[in-house]
Amino acid sequence: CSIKPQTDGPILSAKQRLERIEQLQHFELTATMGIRSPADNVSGSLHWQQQGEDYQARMTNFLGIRIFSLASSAGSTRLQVQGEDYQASNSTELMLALTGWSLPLDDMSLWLKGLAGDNASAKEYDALGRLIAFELLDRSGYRWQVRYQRFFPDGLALPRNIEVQSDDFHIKLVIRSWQL
Amino acid sequence: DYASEPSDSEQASKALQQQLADMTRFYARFEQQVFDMQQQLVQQGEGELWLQQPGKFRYQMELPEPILFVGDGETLWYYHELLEQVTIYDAKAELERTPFTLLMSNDASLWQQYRISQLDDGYRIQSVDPASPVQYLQLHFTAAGLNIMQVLDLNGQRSIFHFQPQPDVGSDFATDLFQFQPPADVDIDDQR
Repeated sequence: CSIKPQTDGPILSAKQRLERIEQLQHFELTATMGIRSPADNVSGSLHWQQQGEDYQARMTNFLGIRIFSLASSAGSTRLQVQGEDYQASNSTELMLALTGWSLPLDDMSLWLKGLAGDNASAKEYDALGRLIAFELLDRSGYRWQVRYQRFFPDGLALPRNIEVQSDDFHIKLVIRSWQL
Repeated sequence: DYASEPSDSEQASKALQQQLADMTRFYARFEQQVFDMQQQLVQQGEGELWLQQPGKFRYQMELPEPILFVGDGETLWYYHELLEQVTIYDAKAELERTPFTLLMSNDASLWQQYRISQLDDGYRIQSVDPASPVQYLQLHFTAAGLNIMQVLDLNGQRSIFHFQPQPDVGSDFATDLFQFQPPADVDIDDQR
């Protein structure tokens, strides 16, 4: 089903909501994404497709030009940027080297859903017990601050506005729709 | 010695610049379709485009999300409503940001940065800059004017704009159409 802003749906306890989100292994989302970095300012549509551990992602700008595409399966990731194909074990590092900007890709399939992985600290929760911020230390040693400003107004309350910040990069995500 | 024969590209470029110069004003609704390398439809868009000589344009996309790209020949404003962010560029220094500054420019030096080839119903425009993210831009014309614009990127992804041009009303569009006043709470990123 496609989750657009709706106000129906059962009210879940924080624990029930967390369990349901953790069980969510297959989902698709379409988001507006903006990445501001010292090197450049990039924005466009992000499409993310998750199947268990594997995911495919692509970002396209408003003119229809592909900014990047990513395919991760069985732990290895293929990254395509500016018409060139790369195989990466650390895609965050590789994207930074290729484009001058990056985002915490290793845990992205978790933080997109509003979950903090094992590398998270300084977790903050709102009155409804939903995770609204945490700090992430990725395996390259970059520290990221993840913040959820808005959730979809249904029982599952998946994230709608996410901001991810490190010293050099400021990423804004406005999720337009979830397909579960 | 005698003047060297103008190359095909120079002749095509002259012809294209003349055709665009004759298009003093242009307004159309457009539909956009983006196909990936496997010809899968990956994105669709809709919006309106205003063009006016020299150098002025307003690209107002409604779907898939509200995006506004405005240029007055000197300055480019890129307003991303959902991100509450406007980026300001120098129009002539950032030709690759959109094709519209070039298409509406009467500055021959800008055109020298591109190789033009003639198609049976239009032109193919290729940047001489190897770092350009675009393989080529194609413009297709009918009697009613600019009909199709195609952008092919380095990954082989193709973005096709279908225009429904409105007849020219014969008078200039309002000047503030080609300027942008950022709303109060918007992040301004001035790249000039």
